[in-house]
Amino acid sequence: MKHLIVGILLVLTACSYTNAEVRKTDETETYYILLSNLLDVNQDQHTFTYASGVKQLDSLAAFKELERIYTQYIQPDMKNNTYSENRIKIILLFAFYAQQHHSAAFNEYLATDLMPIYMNNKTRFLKVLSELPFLTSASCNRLDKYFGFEGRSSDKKPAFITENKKRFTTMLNSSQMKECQALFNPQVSYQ
Amino acid sequence: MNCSATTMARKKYSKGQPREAIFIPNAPGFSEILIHMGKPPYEKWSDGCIVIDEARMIEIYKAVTPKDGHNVKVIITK
Repeated sequence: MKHLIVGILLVLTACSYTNAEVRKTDETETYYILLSNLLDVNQDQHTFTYASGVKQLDSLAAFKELERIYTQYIQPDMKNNTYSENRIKIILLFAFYAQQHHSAAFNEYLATDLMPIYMNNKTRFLKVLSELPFLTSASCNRLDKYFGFEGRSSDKKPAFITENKKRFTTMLNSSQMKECQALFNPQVSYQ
Repeated sequence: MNCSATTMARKKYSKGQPREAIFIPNAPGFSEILIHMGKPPYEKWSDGCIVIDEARMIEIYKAVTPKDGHNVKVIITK
């Protein structure tokens, strides 16, 4: 009996650790955390104390929280590796955050992650941009950075522009199109 | 001394595990940057971060204990 109780306790402990590892953040909390970081408010939620007793804001913990949420939402939430509009909005808000805060880590994550999401969800992606035009610059910037990043060839950028220009023109307004096109100059390869 | 040895959850190193890095908070002009592995030409592996050879990065990462510990000092010189 004693062994059984110990066994159950061990299983429960293991389950609690498993739950901790896969903790999900719902959309409402995600927007709250992302906006708090965008506006530099609520930063005192993450602090650490040096051995000397000095308390300091913990930028690493704040980054790790954002990274955990990003890792959750960068996964497809629909079948066939596709994304809902709600999920695309959150991902593009991360691109906006990375641009506004000059976050090197999230900029590098999105330079790799955003293009495949666009390619598998073109209509939903551009619909989100048409509804939330403030996301245009950051999103087009990250799509452009895909070419040539981490050893990828930038040779395919002109073909991408040719193949997708009509779709962008149809779904985005002229101001957005101009803003996006400026970032996709085929003569400019990523350095 | 507020930098830390950590890993990048969405990037891998050549053996497929999360990429080792040194987290540098509040670098001038950035909310954060990292030192992480890359391959020549190194500038194509960075969009703000500092990129070094993979073997050197792993050596530095292994030398730091504990991880995520705010126990690394980074000095950048020209």
